[in-house]
Amino acid sequence: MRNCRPFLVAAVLMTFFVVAGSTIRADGEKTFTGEIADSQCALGVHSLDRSHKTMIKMGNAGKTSADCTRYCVKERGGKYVLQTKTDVYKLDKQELAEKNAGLKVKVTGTLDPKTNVILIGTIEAIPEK
Amino acid sequence: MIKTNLQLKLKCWIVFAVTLCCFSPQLCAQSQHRIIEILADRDSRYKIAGQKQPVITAKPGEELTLRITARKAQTQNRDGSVHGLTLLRAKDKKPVDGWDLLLKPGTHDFEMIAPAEPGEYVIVCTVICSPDHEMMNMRFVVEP
Repeated sequence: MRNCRPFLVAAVLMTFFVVAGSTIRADGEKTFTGEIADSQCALGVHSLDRSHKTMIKMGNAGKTSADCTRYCVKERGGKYVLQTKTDVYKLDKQELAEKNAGLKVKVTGTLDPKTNVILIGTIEAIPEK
Repeated sequence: MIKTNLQLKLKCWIVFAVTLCCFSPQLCAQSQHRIIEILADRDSRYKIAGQKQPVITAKPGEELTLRITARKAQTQNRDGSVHGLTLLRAKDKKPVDGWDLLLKPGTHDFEMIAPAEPGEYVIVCTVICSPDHEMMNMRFVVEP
């Protein structure tokens, strides 16, 4: 039995690391693909495109999605968010999002499901085809 | 002896009643915030009864109850909000913490605290409610 003890300890440790590892992976980083938008345009019932168009038509929000996004954040109290096909996520590092305003991006980060905030690791702009 | 006891009790009750009368209005005033009734209307305008150009004036850190009635203009948010109400510092458009409301149709009360820093502020709508959405603003002044 004494001879078995090191193997038992090793087995327990291995089990612990495997379980811990899978938990970390389950709660870990994911990649989200979408557009960096402003909360005002992204949360409307219309598509993001149509929301930007409505704002641009009003005359002060510039000419492009990027202009509109920045305008809505800087002048209208909005926040940078990531809009995917189905969801709108809040973003923790607003300064990183600002650099990619209006662009299609891949955001790698961890989602806090309670607050719906992505804790950003990296943001990578997707080149337009 | 019995008469003296009764007189004493009566005096005590009178003193108690007078004290209550003196302090209860102050207690009520302390527990109730000033109520400001605002209409976030279907024409994408904030309105306050009796004011042509609505302005809210408050003291630094004053506790306010905003009683807001929201009516849908043309469009709304996915969560059903028909208007928004966010307070920005006028000089740099920096949002004030705790002042970011989404308004569903109907009348709702919001307990708010005025900014501590005196100055000019602006309330803006954050829901793209109609083509007139950008006109949906209101002054907010914190007096020194």
